[in-house]
Amino acid sequence: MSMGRAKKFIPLILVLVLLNIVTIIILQKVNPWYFIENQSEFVTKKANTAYFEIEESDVLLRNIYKHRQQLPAVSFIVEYYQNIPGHPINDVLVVWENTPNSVKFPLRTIKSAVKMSEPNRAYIGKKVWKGLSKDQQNLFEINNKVFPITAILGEKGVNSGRFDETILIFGEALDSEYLSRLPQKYSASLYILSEDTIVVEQFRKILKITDEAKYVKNLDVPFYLEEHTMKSTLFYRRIFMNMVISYIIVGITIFVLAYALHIRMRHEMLVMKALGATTSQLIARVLASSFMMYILSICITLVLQQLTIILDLPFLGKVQPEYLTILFVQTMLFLTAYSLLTINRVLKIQPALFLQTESRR
Amino acid sequence: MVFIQSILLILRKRGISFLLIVQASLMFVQLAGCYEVIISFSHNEALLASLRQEDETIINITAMVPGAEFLKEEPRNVEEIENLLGNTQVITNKYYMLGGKLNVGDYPPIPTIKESYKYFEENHETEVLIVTGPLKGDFIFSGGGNFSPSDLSNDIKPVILGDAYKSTLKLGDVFEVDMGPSIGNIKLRVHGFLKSSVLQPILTNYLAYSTETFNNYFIIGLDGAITEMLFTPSYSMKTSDQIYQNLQHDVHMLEGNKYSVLDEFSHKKKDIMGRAQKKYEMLSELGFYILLLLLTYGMLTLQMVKDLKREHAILNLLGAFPLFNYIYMLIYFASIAAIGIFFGMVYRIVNELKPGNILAGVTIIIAMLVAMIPACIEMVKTGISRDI
Repeated sequence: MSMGRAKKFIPLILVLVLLNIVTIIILQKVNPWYFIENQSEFVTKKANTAYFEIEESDVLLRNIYKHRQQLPAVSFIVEYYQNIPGHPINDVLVVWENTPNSVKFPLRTIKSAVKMSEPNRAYIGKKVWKGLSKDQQNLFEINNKVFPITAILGEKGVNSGRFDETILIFGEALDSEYLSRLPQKYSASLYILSEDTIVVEQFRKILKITDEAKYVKNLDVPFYLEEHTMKSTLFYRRIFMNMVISYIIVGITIFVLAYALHIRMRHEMLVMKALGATTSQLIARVLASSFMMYILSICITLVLQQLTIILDLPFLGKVQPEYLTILFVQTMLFLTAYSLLTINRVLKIQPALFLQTESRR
Repeated sequence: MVFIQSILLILRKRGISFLLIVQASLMFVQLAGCYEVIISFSHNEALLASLRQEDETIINITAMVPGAEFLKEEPRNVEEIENLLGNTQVITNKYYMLGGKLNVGDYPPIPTIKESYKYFEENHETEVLIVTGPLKGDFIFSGGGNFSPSDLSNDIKPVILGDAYKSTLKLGDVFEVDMGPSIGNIKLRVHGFLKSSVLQPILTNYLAYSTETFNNYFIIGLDGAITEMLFTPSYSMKTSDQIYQNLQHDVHMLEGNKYSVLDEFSHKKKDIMGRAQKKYEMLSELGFYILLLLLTYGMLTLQMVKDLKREHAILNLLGAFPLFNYIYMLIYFASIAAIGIFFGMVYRIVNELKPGNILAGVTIIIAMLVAMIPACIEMVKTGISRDI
């Protein structure tokens, strides 16, 4: 297809690329929930999970520090809020592992002299990492205690939601100095993970967890998901409505462009028909141009997406492969609609009448 | 009249007009949503700018009062904590926190964020901070100023208000506040207004949550005799995150764990940063819709002009007003935009939203006018001899 002909389709290709970009941006918002869902599946795999919501995170952490030896040999995680300079209210996950690496998170290791088994190590969310100075990116200080950063939480180019603003440290590294500087009056979540049944009363007694603390169940509690159920339902509905409205707007734009393009192509089609081209040849020409637009718009979108992933920019990130098929399907649907509209007009062409009017122009 | 008739005729005949109206109305709905987010962020932009420059926060030190002791209302020994704060050499304001009820006319329209604070709005109650001397530190006033120690002994007590009160009270106005049974009614004179949208050295939990830009301060200066009757004081200071952490440690080490050190500002910081992110998302969405508008109207008008070139040339030959075709096209698309915007507003009202920002409508019309430029150039090129 010559460049001259392809130029006509640039607006349509541009609209399709824009639609695909917007779709990826919207799908990225759904992605953190997918990530958290997978995370919860991993964490609770073949294990029981108990979950408490506790009023005062500082009191809970101090109690765990004091009574760790008396607690049953299970893994558990405390999630609380902590300020670090420039990044207010980050989630901090303090992990106590039963066996090393019993609690796994997708990690990107960074060059560091510290071994991955070092209890003092910290894993840090992508957004927090980017906001740190060069010095902080090696040695990171929370509550006057220095933690060497050994890995970044989450994958490159993936929006992991809250995990991107999380700091993960290990319970063994805590000391009284750290605990004396904990922020007060913030709530905390305590997740207890075990392959055996969890005796909740034992935890209540040792950690002095009051009856008012909200306890969920001694069952498989999806990690993080419980508190997001309501939010995510509303969130999905809003995303869905936004997508529907965007589709209608883009659909109308494509229809209008198809209408304008058809007028432009009409003369060309008529000359071809007058020279003896059959209707099927004209239809094949329309389909060929649609196919070219399909390939170009998908390729441009994917190249842009890959570039932003490689450069780790927040603009376009990875989305799940099954979500990515939406791009292929939506582009095909819009182009099918375009082809049908154009073919419908091609079939109505009357060369004799048209050439008569065209010759007067 | 001829114009209106011909436009109605086109609207009735052309299916594409119907589609353009649907597109314009949905576009209005989306653009109005985008502008709402962008405008709400802009109110906090000054505050965000000040946050980016400095690593500052506001911390409060309050006594932890166990439930049983809460009802005793006994003055506490604050020597220990005041010595500790004296050693930090950070400017600290000591205040007592109470509630006050205002007359309906004096209560400003303050939108509350948290549902739990609705009660205060409905009952015209406000959080009152009582200080026993002039305010210390770099307070920024938008009118009036700080009071002097001599003002405290007057019968009419000085009060410093947030910017929200400017809509109901003026500098020098005298009004009353009901401070409950312990203090009773006090007469107050407005001494100054604290600027909103900036970080002042006092920020309570209520202020951090209640308004968008900390605009409902209510600080009364009282002399020592009255404050002796009050609860334990709180302390507020504007400081760095490092000093905040150190103070947490020092206060924790005090015997009996009697005080809590709270960073009242971090939630607000997080909220503002989240909005900044949202603003960029909305701006890119805005760009996407504007580009679609430009493409739709640009391609369509250009094609219309090319299609009707011969008719335009004939009209020119017959002595029609030279801008007739241009005005005709303009009115046709403006009608489409106007009808679309109207239905967009109806959609928003039905969905219990505000009718929409005027900017959304203006954006659609401006994008439409810009998109028509290539068509206008094409129209100017119409030559009678060439095109007939």
